Amino acid sequence: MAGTSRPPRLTPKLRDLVAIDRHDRPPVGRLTPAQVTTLTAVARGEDRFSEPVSVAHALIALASGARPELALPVLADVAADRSAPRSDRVTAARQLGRIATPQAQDALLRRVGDPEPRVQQVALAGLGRFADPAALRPLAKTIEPSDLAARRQLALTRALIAHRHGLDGPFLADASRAEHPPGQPGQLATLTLGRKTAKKTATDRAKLLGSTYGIELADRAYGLACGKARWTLFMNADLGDSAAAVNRVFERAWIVGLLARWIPERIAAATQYVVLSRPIGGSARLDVVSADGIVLYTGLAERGKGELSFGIGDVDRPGSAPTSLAGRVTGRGVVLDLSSAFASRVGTRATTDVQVRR
Amino acid sequence: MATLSVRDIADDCLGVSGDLSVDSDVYGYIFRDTDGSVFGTLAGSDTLVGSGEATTRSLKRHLQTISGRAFDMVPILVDHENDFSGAVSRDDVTKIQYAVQITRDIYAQQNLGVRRLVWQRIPSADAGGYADLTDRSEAEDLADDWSGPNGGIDVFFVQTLGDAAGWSNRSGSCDKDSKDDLTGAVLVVGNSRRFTGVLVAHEVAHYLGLAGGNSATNLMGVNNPSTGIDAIGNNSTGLTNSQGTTIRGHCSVQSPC
Repeated sequence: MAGTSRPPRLTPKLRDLVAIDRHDRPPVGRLTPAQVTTLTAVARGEDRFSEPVSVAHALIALASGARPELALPVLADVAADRSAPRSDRVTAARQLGRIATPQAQDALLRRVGDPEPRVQQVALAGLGRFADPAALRPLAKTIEPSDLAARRQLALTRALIAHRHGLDGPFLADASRAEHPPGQPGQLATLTLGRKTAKKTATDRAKLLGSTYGIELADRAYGLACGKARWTLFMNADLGDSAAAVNRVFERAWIVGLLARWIPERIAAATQYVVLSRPIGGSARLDVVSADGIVLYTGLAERGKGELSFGIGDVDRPGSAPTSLAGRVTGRGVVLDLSSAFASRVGTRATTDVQVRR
Repeated sequence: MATLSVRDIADDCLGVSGDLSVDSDVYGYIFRDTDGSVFGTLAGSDTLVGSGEATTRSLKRHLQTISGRAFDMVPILVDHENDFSGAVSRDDVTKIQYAVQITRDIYAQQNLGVRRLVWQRIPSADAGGYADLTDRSEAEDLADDWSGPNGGIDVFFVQTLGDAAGWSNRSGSCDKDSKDDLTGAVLVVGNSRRFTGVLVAHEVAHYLGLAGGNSATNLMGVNNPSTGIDAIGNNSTGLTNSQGTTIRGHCSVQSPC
């Protein structure tokens, strides 16, 4: 009799994958059909199990270890289920972005008008990482989100598609560089930029987490250090690394590269910022943008004699650290002629006191 | 033996006087569940480290630790409205209070107190996507963008975090405008009460200077060198004398009051 059946038990591997109260995320590997069936039941909340299970962890495991055609319907259903907890819907939408197939693109496009702004924003962020130009038409028809962050994400998603595919737009709105008095020596952090060998780049690439935003990465990356912070700047392979190749930034829009932050140091690098370029007059605008669409640094690249020169600085916004860089891209890589980066932020946004009724 | 006076310690250490509520003014547990409880609905596995029981705590021990060497904690509720119309629920805040009590019990083993709780929020209209983070780099962005008042350790509570249950900086800065550091701990609120307590204590311990460990029963758990994420569980509550010495040397730890 169904009413007296025991709740299903999980195998050790599945228990590990869907356990609540886990700090780390266990490796998923390739899932068997039986494991996919059980994880689907967890994700859909179809069975009561003999121990507490995490829907979010089941969704993550399915996206990582199941064939896309099996994972996608579950993820799409949970993302669309307005009766599900917001955190599960957000996780499902985020995992659709990881799957990055045309079917995932369709499922995410169905969520860009979702009434929950966070689902909307995560769906847009996912599309920004891989969507093709066919997504631009439905995105153009999307009603402008009332939520500021979702609105900003929509603008970034459309711009990322344009930059990735070399289109004439739409682009992010122009940001203005902040004006700062020069920093005193005690205020400044040490900033260095050095080209990595192909071997070190490959090592860094193996430790890269997060999206590559649909670009192929060049064989040689750069190491960027500012104070104690470390990034690897992965360059777009289509731009090459000779000055002549880099001059292609004057021909069309590009995702120039990715800045991956090392956290923890030397163990994993997570994509933190995207570097975008687009022709503007005889120059090219350069923007360094966060994953949620905030332009953090902006500047221009100019043609030089056998090289490309650039200048870039921080955008005037709360929490900015005054920064100014100028340099050249030559046949031997990037040379910094000027670097000034403050060690402290200016005008970090302050939190608000919680009020409780007694 | 010195007598511990609630009023004297509240006045000297917490800056509060007059009519006192022990829970709100002395412990800093300002939230109540709908049934009036400060710790909300407990599961069978939820026990406090100090007493081994579900809710039993010692006021005397609390007064001893907060008047000794102690630090202030700034719990920051990301995407929170005071009427709970944001992402943070009443269950979340009572869970955080339980987690703080577990943290206090763990640190009390080394005579270190969590003195004041300075409750802060990022309003929903300003939080953007910060309540739901993909990974550690977005946790970094959150702490880069927002800071609580100076003097305490910022602990940001978010709804989802894709690649771990929490992130913190080892030996974090006491300058919250520092550009190069994760200036606080960021952790997800969706786990059980007991585990959330161990997690808060663990991430704050990183901030106070402790590295990942090699014992499942120690607060710092077992470090995985390939991910940098420590495996911890509900019984990862131990704190050695050596770890206590390291923690007490951090710039955010204040003198006895």
